Amino acid sequence: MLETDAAEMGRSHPRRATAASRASSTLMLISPAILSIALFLLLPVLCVFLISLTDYRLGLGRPTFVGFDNYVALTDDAQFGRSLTNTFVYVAIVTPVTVLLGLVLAIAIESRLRLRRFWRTVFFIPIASTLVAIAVAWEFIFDPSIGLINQLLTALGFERINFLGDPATALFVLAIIGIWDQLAVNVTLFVAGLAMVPRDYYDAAALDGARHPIDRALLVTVPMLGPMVVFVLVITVVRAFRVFDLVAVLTQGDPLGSTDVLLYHSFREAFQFFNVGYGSAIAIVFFIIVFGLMWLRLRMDRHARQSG
Amino acid sequence: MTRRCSRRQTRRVLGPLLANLLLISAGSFILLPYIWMILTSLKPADEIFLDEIRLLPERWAALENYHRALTAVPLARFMGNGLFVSGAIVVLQVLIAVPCGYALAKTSFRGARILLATVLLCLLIPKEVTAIPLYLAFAEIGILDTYLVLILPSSISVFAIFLFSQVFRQFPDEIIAASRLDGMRDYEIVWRVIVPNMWPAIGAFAVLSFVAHWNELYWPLIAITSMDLAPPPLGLSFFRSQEASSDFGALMAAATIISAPLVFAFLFAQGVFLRGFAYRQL
Repeated sequence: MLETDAAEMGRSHPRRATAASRASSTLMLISPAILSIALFLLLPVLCVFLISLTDYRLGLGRPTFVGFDNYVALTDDAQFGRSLTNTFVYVAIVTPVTVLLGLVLAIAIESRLRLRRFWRTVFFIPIASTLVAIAVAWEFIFDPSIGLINQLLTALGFERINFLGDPATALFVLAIIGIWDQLAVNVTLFVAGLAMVPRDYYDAAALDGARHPIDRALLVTVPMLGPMVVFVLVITVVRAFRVFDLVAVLTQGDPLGSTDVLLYHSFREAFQFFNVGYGSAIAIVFFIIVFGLMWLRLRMDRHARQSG
Repeated sequence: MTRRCSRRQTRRVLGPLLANLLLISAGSFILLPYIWMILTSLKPADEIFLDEIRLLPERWAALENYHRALTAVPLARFMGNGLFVSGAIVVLQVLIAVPCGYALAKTSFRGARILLATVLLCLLIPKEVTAIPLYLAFAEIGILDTYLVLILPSSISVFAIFLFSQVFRQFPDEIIAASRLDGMRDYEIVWRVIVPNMWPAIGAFAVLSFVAHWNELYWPLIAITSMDLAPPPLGLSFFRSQEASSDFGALMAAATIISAPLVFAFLFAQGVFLRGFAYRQL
């Protein structure tokens, strides 16, 4: 009798008599989470949308409702257009390089038996690092007069390049630092994914004549990693879209707006020019893009889990 | 026949050679900023501004550079801020998410499905989107530029709730039932039964969350104006804009000091970091 009771409760079907006390006990468990989700996530998202429908300027009296005027203004704003293009260019450089190279490097790491731990560690270190600090180090390496790269260029007889000061190169330098940052993430994700491929498959492939680890990698790993690649791809695109730190610390969108990106543009409008309504509209555009991408990832994830 | 054999042999040699070459060049790319940062932090100014590439300094200036880095800006203070703010955030996140994760995993209540759906939906909200209304609200209350403002918005981690609700499912129901028979209430079960046993998952989350908040720039840049309250990345960016044109030795020393604790922590506790990172894929 006692045992069945215990099992009942264990499966947490509260008995009628205690239902009320169980409900209040559950409420105690979940209410802090519900409260902070509402206060710090749901309400702010609703508010940022509502603010984007006003002409709110900080310190300039009461805002008035302007409908979708801010969004219409965006289509006319050359600076916004440029920040959107720059963001897409940045994403388009960082994504293919880090996904492809990340996969190849992970396969190379996993096929080396001896130095596997060493390489895994090397490619994880950036994840544990402060990007702002390393960005400052990169800035020094790309310095126009005393940076390592320009010293190499002059030693080889080339002209110096003002990497971060030239509108033609600045965004690419940021993308190189972005690649540095994202490559570590992707190598680590792929290494973790490779570790999940069952050993038996490799043995079977070896029996079938794939003697070399690289042959086995091509035969077994690449097909099995299909879903993994898509997953890493989406993560990479989302993270690249959120590029902010590099711009905020190294270029502030300069030279000539050539490194202005979506998130930085929203930040500057809202917190430096105090065009809060307009900045909110840019934040909403950013939100819709990222939300769409993450939604895609969640859908794929569920799909992968159902079929796997 | 012999031709096929030799082709296989060249592949056997070429494959590993190519793999090694690739690993070494990509590895150098990864390590380059660290190496150059540390080497520069050891050099005196006149050698940094030299027009030739020199790896090691002729005159070692490590002490001066690191001393200037620690005194020109309150670098130790930045690190203390990072430790306090990130620590408080992680504690709050765990305090809030663990009971909720337990409720979702081990109890049935009305609205559980809606709560889980909300959590999943909130996983799709990038933090940056919430910044403007939060800034306005905190300005209205008059608590901008305080530790509290750095900590509060991050007190909720929907990722943690989701993670814990998945991981806690594996906890045996029998033990929970037995604890109930012993007269334990839900919150006692959470903190005295679940948490001690689920420590690996909670610890892995804590480590990763700590790193993420230690490294965060976006929200501190918006919410903090006093240098005294700056976490490490914001503090370093202050330092950079002050010293940018002149004192590279000290700047690199500061960057080294700020990067060092987490990198060393990682080297010593690689397993925990990697486990936490694997959870990110859930």
